[in-house]
Amino acid sequence: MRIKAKLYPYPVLAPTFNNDYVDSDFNIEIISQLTPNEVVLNFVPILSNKGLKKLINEGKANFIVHIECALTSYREIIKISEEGLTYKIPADKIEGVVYLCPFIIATQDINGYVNEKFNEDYSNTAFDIEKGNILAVGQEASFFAEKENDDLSNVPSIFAVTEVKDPERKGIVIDNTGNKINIQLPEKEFTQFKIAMNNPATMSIIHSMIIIPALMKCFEDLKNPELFQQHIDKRWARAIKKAVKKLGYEFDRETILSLNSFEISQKIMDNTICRGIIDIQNIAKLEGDDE
Amino acid sequence: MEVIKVLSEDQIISLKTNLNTVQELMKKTNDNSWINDFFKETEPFKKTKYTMDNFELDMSSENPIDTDYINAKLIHEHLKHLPDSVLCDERLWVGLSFNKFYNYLMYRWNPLNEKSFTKLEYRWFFKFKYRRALFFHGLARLFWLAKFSYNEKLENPYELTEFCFRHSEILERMIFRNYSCSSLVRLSIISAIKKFIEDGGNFTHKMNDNIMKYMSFLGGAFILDSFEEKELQEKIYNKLIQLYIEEEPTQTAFKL
Repeated sequence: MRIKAKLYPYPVLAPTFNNDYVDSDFNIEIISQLTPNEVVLNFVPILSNKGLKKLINEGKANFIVHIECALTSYREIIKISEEGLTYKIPADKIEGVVYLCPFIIATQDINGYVNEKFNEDYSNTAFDIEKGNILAVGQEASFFAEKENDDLSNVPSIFAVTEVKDPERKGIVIDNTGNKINIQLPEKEFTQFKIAMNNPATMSIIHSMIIIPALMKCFEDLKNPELFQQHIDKRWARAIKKAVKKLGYEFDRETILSLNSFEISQKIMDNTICRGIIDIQNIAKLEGDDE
Repeated sequence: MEVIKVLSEDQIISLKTNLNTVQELMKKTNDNSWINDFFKETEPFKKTKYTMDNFELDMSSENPIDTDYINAKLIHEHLKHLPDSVLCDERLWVGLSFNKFYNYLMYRWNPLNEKSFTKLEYRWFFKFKYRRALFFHGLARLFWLAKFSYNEKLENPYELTEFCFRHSEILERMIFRNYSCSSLVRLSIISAIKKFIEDGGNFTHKMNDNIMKYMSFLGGAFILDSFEEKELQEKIYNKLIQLYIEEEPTQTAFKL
């Protein structure tokens, strides 16, 4: 469930998208903390509206948070008391984006509901509320559940270098449509790549030749508004976001647009090109010594 | 008991990058032995910390689709102990597809007579992002369709699963709507439709579309999960009768 600005057949306290009520506020503050085995959620309701508070005190309404993880089909509603609540979700129940939506809902039919803080447009109109009806909508929150200890293997890198088993294919292809950046190499080059990656002396050279252009392509894609939206939830994009933030930049489209893709890629890879040049010199020197 | 083995993410990317070669190798070999050569490894499948009972899927019918219900039940029964986050993972399902259940996938979703890679991409791998992929993959869909209709409160927990495989349009339409994440909502819809049919109603595709729309509408004003199962089931059942009467005014099964 996502919170959308919509119209209801009766007044709903929703400070983020309507003015059905005046001088009133509602939200449930949510603090999430991810641990290896569970997600700990702290909920604190904030309500300034006497009429709604009265309904809650009389047991006719409840604070609730609706939690949903679309990927694992996890969905719960949690009843929150006025004092707040700490709630734990086992880490293996969720994966990816988890949305949390705060509401006040009616727990029984309420006939002739009026509230002194209704917008004057409603004057003194009374409404019949049914059990389960939404009375107030807070601000949606979300977090990303990504396990540090993967259940099926170790944490994977954001790059996958794959062999294209087609003798006709020439050149390198960078495919970032999945969770990883897939760098596709022709057969012969892939074999050489594997040898080079096992040699510390050539690693910086390989990074300069393969990883830097792949990162540059990703940055160029992120400058495109449509591709930015498409890629933003992918694992490689989240890893780049983390790296960019670590370098002191924001990760919004404006900042991305202002960045030079080549420079930022170099910074992320800790100037691997410069180190690669030194490595080439060292290899040449070693080969010279051998002769 | 056997250890569940998977393929790594990089191995899956490698297979997907080489679909043409994969299809050719599948054509040339009767079993999955080509995978070792493909990855140049004697044991490309990686052991996990999870186990399952040794079981086989049913391939007895000449019409493979007829085995879906029994196989959904089998696969759910034997894998339901795994965490949900693992049951959503492409590595699990692709690993099982190219290893233990290779013959079953060939039986149910043979990709070799196709000019395109549609079956291979959608039924052997995860083609879509997020939950959608789970309901297309040849094995994952069986598990998740059973999971979505499994009701442990019933004497036969797979009673609604069997019904859903006879009326596949119900879950096909429901699973892509967010409310289907709620077992309360899902099971209420399925049970209400089942009762409606048992009571003499004619459940059409149009009614199916309309009842799904009604649920979205209802979810706009109510928190569906706050209802009791019986309350929600009753609301849906009554709506079904209303829709039926609108569609077939001359019906005699239900009194106005």
